[in-house]
Amino acid sequence: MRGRSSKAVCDMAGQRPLAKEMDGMRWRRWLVGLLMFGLAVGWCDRHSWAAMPTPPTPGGTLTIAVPDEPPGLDPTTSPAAAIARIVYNNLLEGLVKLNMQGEIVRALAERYVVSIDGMEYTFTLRQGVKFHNGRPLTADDVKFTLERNLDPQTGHPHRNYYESIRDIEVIDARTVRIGLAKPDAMFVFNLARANSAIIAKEEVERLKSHPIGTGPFQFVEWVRGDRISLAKFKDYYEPGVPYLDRVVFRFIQDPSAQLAALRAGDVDVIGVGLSPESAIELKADPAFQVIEGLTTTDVIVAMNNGKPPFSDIRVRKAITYAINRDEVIKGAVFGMAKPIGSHMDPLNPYYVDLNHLYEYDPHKAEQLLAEAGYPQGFEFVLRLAEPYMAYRRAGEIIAGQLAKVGLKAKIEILEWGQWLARIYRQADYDMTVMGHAEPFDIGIYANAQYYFRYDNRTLRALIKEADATLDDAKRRAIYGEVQRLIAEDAVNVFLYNGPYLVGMQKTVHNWWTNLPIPAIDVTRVYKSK
Amino acid sequence: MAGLTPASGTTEIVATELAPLRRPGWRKSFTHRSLVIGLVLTVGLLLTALTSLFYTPYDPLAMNIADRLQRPAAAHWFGTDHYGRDLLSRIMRGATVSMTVGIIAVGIGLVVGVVLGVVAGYAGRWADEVLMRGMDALYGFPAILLALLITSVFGPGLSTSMVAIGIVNVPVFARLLRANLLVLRERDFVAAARALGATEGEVVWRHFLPNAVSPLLVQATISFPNAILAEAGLSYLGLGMQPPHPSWGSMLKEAQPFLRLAPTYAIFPGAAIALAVLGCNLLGDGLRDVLDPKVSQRR
Amino acid sequence: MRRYLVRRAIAFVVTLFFVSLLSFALINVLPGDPAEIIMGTEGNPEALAVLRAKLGLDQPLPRQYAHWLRRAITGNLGVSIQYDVPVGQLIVSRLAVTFPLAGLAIGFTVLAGIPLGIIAASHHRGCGDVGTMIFSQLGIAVPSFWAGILLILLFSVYLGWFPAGGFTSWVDDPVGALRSLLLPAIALSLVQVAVLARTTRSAMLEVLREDYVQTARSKGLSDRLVLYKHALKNALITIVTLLGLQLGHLLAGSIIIENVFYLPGLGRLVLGAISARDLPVVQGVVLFLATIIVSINFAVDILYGWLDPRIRYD
Repeated sequence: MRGRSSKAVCDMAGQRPLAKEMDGMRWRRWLVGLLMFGLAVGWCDRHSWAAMPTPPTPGGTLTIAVPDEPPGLDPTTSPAAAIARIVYNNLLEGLVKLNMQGEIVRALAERYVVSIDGMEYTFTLRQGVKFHNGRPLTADDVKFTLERNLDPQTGHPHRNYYESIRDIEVIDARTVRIGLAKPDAMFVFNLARANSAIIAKEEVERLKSHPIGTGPFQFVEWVRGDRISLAKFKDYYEPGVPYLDRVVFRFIQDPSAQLAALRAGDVDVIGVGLSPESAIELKADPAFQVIEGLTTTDVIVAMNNGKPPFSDIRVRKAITYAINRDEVIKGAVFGMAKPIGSHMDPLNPYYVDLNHLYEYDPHKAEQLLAEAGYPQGFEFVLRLAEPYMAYRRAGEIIAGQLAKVGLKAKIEILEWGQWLARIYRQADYDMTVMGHAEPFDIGIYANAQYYFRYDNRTLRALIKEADATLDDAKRRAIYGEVQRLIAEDAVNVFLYNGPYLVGMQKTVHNWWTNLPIPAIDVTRVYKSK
Repeated sequence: MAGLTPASGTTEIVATELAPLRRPGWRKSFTHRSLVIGLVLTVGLLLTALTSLFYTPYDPLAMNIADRLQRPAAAHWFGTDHYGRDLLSRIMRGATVSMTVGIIAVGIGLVVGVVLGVVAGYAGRWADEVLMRGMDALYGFPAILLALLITSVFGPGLSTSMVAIGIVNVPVFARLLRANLLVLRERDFVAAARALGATEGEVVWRHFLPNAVSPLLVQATISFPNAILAEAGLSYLGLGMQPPHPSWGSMLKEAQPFLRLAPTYAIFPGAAIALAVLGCNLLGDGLRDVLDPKVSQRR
Repeated sequence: MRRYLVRRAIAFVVTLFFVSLLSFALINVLPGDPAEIIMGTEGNPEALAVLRAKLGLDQPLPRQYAHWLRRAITGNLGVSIQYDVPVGQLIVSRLAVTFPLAGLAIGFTVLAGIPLGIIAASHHRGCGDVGTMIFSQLGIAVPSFWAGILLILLFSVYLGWFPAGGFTSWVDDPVGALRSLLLPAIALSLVQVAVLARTTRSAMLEVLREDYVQTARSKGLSDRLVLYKHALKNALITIVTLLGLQLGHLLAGSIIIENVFYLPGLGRLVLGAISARDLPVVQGVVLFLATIIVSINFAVDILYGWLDPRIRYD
């Protein structure tokens, strides 16, 4: 893309400045851009800028501890965040990608051009991009990837990202034109996600266990149950990068084992899963540094809106009033998280602070319950997913709080596979606690079949409108309305923004300070001596 | 893992070996003292379990986040857990769980084992072989794996773990009973009863079973503490008693991430398990001494 | 003797058959459709059906069992659903942790158990005896996972000598790997040490009472010589057979200990596979473990029968 507009700081969903602007809007865009820049710099500054001084030292091996071993390495057939963490921007790249500030920047596409009506995107690929198997990237690969993602047989977890594509035409080896059936404001953003990575046709079979991509690192080995190793890809198109020679992801589930490994020097970074109790310990230790930031994870108490008594808005509101979020945050994550009031994270430029819409008020909860016909409260089942300790803890604390207003929860802990099968796919639940890590996923509330089973025509219309609106100010207004509507309808109880906690040795530099997308992008990370 | 592995089988062997040495008066003071300790601990366990049904210093389920991970102090004698719940109350309630599991699991093993043993003894050569090989397979199956699979099939929880441990205990009782049956069937008094016209069923019921009570009881005293250990192990793995209800094993699991922040948290539940099992073991040993050394001669 | 051997061999094979049947049956009753779990959240019905056929899940159960057994006998245990790697390979790689762990545990058991038993026997009714008996009772009563936690508390949290969990690879860091196995092995062996000490003690005491030993004593030989030469040698039979039996139990006991210390061994493999409904792995590991244990029991039976003709086969 030509020239990074200042307006783009922290802009995740909006369009990037393009070669062809819609003429009438040009000045307005500049003005809005300037305004946003001013606000954004002040707000983003303390979050996004890493310590600058030391110039990058090339070389070395970086060992990163992560808790979850991915179920394969193909992000196009599985939604697991564990996959994205390893492959995103390291092994596989898309046409565009997100950087640490959450901006959409060019990756495999050198630039792209949008038609005036927003229905045609023409991407020009970079020169000299090679796959790890040596073959150069061509526009055919882009076409193949997108068509494969759209093919139901592939089993892409989010086919809807590409649904607006009407046709794809390869113009020449470096140019591809994508025609949309209708304007899609999220189109480019969706292309920046991990599951839109461009893959090579001949390597599809191995994608799950030995991915071949265009990223700065290439796959070396996967020792099941232990680690995945990557090595620097010598023919990467951007010179000087990556700095590291090797990257090793080690699977260490136990937080104290992670900590032990970090202290012993066996790992350099605890990339994911640093528990709040461990973060507290590490912060006090001068040999280490801890990054505390925001993520795109919305941790919510999901309720089955399609099933009584949760179908009654008074019951849902009562539950919201009965939950003391501060206590939950203290108990589940040792206070190291920010509360949220709706299904959007503070990193999103369209975020509206709705935290004070419902204050903790057990009295009001009891009143509402009585109004709804449950003066004595009722019993229900709270199903929690086994792998996520923070959500389990939150669930247990919430059960205790709800019991005080007569809502007696029976806790059932399900294995992840069962949670997916019963709750996510079949909505066989009353209440559960889960973190939704996908950035900008508020659109799920427009899907009446999503496991919340929330069916609201107004909301659907709003989301549809937003998806078709390319004007930033309009989108902001619409998304503000959406957040408010969801919060007022108490569809779910919105707890907190999943904390981004990373512990590492003092010698590691350039680590992402916020997590605008589930990823561990180590392209620009380096180790000093 | 003790409880689902060694002690039951091996203590049998040990008991056999020790038999010749149990002469009255020998080592009496030591045996006497350990029996007393065992009695005290077991009664203590029982009392704690019963008391906790009516009274605990605090509600074992009441959370108080502000007071989390406190050290033992006047307000909370054993300290608090990571949600601020009183540990002493939870440990008391845990005693109830352990006792319940012990009784029911051993009960299941005993009843089912006895039935199978009798059937094996009477059902003819073929059925006997099949049943006993089945019992061998079950016995050789890593018990914890068996319990794991059963709880996975039926979902984790207290009842499932009780049934699972019960099933694990069936082979031991079945083999025991069958062995005794074979021996006793040929005894004189049985022949006499038969001569007097008693049916086989009456023989089993009136003559055989009462004589089998002794070895069964002895085995029960071995299996009971093992069942407590087994339940603790399953709870530790998350397959036993579900939150928020306390079980000594699950409390240990919850305490583990906080070893640095609150070291005493992990000590109490484990000590409770150890003391309970120790008490039952000592009591069982003492009972076996009393019941007759001859009783432990079985293979 | 031959008759004994033959009967035991037949029993062994039949038992193995039952073990395989049990493994297969139990696991196939597990709820949860593995195809669904693999596809995750977005599997559509056609894709699911295709995957099920590929995994052979659409066949009737007895046919599936026969297939599986036939391949298992030749060593092919199928391919893991989670990892897309042959089950046999997974088992072998995990054994690199579980076997050394069990081996270390046996080592500790022997190193600590036998001397304790000897001390107890030689100080019969004295301090050493009482002390050993107390230790033995405690060792049996203390759950291995609590012992593990206490060890972590002392040696890792307070002293910092050992890691609190986790495992570095043998290839990268053999010393570190050994250190990671030390505390788990001690925790695992605790019960075995207690039992072995008791067994050693009683076996030796039994032998010590025998007349010829009394005679040897009266001849003026030093106590120690008498002890070691005669008593221990005869007690060895019992000890060795006990150790053989314990090996099987150790392998099973490692399941919990691997969980306490987060070691990537066989135990955690099967636990993870059960929750992920990775049937091939669960079946394979369960069959493998059960077979080993049954085989060891069989071998011990043979050994015992050979060494001690007094033992009657019931």
